[in-house]
Amino acid sequence: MLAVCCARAPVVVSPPAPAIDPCALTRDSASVPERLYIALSGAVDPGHAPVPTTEAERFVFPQVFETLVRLDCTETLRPVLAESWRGEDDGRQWTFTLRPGLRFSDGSAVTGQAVVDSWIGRAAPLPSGAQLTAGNEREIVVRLPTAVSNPRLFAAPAFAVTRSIAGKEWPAGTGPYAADTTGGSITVAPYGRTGRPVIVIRPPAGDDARDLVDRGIDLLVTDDAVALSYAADRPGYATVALPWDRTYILAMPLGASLVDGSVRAGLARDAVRVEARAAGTATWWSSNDCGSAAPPSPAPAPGLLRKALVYPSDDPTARDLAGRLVALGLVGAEGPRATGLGGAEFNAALASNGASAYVWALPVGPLEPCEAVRDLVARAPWLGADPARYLTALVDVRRRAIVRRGGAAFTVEWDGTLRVR
Amino acid sequence: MTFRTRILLATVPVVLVPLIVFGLGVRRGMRQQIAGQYRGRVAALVDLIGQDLERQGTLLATRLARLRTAAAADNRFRLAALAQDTLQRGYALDYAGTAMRIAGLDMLQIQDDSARIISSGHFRNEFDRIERALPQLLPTAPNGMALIQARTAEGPFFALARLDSLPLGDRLFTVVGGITVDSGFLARLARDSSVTVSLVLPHATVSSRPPPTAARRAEEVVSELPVPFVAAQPDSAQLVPARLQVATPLTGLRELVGTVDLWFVIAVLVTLLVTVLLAAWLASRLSRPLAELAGKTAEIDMDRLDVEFASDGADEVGALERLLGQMTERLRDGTVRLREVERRAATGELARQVNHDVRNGLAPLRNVLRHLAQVARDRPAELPKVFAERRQALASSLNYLESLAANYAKLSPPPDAQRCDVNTVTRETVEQLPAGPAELTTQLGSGVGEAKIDAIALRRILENLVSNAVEALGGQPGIVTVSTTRSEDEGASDAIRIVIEDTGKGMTESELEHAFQDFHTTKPGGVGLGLSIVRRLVTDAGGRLRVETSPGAGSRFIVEVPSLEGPA
Repeated sequence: MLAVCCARAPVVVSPPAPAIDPCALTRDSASVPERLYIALSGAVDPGHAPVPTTEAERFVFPQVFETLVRLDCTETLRPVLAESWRGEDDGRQWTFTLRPGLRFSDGSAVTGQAVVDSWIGRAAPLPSGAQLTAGNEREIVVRLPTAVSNPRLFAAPAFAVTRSIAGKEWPAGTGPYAADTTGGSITVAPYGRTGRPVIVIRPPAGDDARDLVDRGIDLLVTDDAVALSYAADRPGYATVALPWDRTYILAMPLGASLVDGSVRAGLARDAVRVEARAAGTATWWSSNDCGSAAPPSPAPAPGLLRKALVYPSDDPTARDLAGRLVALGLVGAEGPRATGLGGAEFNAALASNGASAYVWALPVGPLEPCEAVRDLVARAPWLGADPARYLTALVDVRRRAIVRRGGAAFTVEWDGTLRVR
Repeated sequence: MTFRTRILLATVPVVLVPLIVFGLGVRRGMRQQIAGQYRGRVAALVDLIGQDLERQGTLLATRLARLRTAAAADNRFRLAALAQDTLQRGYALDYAGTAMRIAGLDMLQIQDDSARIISSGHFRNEFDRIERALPQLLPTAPNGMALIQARTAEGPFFALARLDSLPLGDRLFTVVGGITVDSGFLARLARDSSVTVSLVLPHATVSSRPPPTAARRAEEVVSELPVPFVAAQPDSAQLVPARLQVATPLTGLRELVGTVDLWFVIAVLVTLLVTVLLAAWLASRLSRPLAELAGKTAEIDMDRLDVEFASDGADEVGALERLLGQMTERLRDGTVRLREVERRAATGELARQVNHDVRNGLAPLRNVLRHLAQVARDRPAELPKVFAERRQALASSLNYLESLAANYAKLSPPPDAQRCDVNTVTRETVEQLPAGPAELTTQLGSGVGEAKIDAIALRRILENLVSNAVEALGGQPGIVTVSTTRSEDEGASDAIRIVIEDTGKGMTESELEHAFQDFHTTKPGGVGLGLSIVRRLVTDAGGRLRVETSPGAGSRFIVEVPSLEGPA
């Protein structure tokens, strides 16, 4: 993948907007409701903005904070704040031109310098060695250490443009919505532009997503097969597949397992209770062209988990996969046992190489593979310079959106992010 | 060791030993009794557990029968199981999990006629594994129920399971369901938190409570209940006996014994204290009269025979005191008789001495009178002349007799202090005394002067001491030296010292101790009054008498009498 992205690239300018949005979630929107009820799990913490860490933040933040460009569901780069961009020096320098008249939600102007200040202020993950300057009032010039064919990196949420406001929990964004926290509840309301509904976030009710459907939810993103089946039988709802966004991997410090294609297919078909497919063998971590010097692999840490196949305890799909791998004996004839760990414990075990195997999910295709590899190795240093030696992709999974027919229109991005149109 | 200590030492074991024996006997009997009760309680609990397991087996059978009925009626499951309908495969895979939860079971797996697991409730993703041991062995277990080791992704667990069959079409499926046998299950069987129920398997043990220490385990009452266990090995499987072990610690007994031990120790200590006090009192009661008796007895002497031993006690001490009183009385009578004998002997000696002295005084008179009578008869004319010549002899003898009489009279009352020249009296006395083979010498110091003592008393002193010194030589050659000097002792410079020293046999300490006692003598025919008289005469004169002697080295009698002339 990196080989593709790093090929000698022509100068590219912003593509024209398509006449028909291929990424529209539904095409039968008739009227815009006053309130849009969204059921998403997890809390919304303005301290995380604009990078989401929960499903709720993954929906709310893109409505409030925008990037210069976005990557639609066809992985085509589309303009957002930037009306155009051009590449120079064989793709090593990129100049973005902002749309005229852009303003933050607090009314201040969005300038090239404001964009630069926003990124620097939040320590946006620019490649090491990149140089960032504000060309003029509406231009931002980014010089990258390596050539890229298109600036898709800047579609990542981390490159959203924000502006801190003194005394406010929420920074100002440029999106059609502004968020505020009042009395412990989040208000996501449109501003400056009419014709948009107020967004109301509802947490999932108990363990049964079908109850939300029964209560008239406008949008529910889930991988619950029972709920999807139920919604499919309801004439007022449509279920729409979102992009394959996660790949479950098996990491074994002692080497790759015997998971072949048939096993992957079996895992996708029977072992998991979500929509899954056998993962491909060409993965973004297989590339060794990133040129980063990885730290040496540490020795396995002694401990109680040495005979454990660990997985994040809050991920039922990872649990299913771990259980099936144990049942098949693919991670050792006499074990190890599958052990669910909380987020911090799992990350600690992964960092210290404390277990005999790990199952967890990674993005199917990150915007910047080399950055993702570096992040992965930073999380698990024992992967060393060749993560592919230890990692085996098992299955790709995706969720589906249950959308109320005739309600609001949504657009889905390349990574499953939804935007209110 | 005193009599009181002996009484104490004897009393303590006499009281404590029976008490300790009694306490140990009670402790042993109590322990056996309560341990027996514990054993009965454990045996009853084992029976109850056996009944519980039977009820669990019946309940399992009922639930499995209902599940069988429900599964047979479920078309989606039937399609998945018989027609291998891939669309229903997911439903079948999750079927056992749902059914297990509904039926309240902890493990449930459905296997086809080739022993392949087609649905597992406790380990959803264990499907397709061949499991032959359970369909083969469970039906052969007593009451159709046995312990098994089931698997989950997280690890194995033990379950009490039984099997039911599920005929679908022309195939026979099996349904194996069970409940977890873990510490919680065993704790429910135990009912009482003090009771430990353990599942003892060939390779593992599960207990309702953390296992006790080895020391505590030795203090448990244990009973067992056999339970069949499906021991599945990779290449074989068989039913082996496992054990449900019911153990109850003898905590109550231990606490009771501890309490008894504590009170027993307290009782021993109190008894010991009381015994010591009583023994001390008793010993005091017994030993005090004896001590008083011993004290009285110690007072008895030849001069102290007036000690009274009077007791009206009817006990042995009273009898002993009366006996001592009688003995003292007899001793007192004997002493009187002895003193009488001694007095008589002393009187006889005194009479002999008086006779001797009087004869000595009368002899010159007799000679003078015989001479005068002879002159008057033969030469009457010369009688006046001769009388005049012998008159002085008559006067001297009469003076002697008069002085002798006066001195004898002084034996009883102290003589008046008079002056005498010590050297003169010493010289005259020594010259008149017979020395025998002894060499009798005098060393009279110059300037000794006069002493404040009667000359006769001094003469008697010297006669007795010099005679004793000569006699101390035992008729053998020796030297008796009489010396006079002014005293050189500090504080006694106004005294005259007369030393009578011999080279005789000397005296032992014992002899010296008795030498000055009345009627004590070592000489045949002696009356034992010589040194006694000497001491009295010296003392009456205000002087001192000392003796330096040792056996074989002679004796040295030192007489110090007051000087009339004051310090030199």
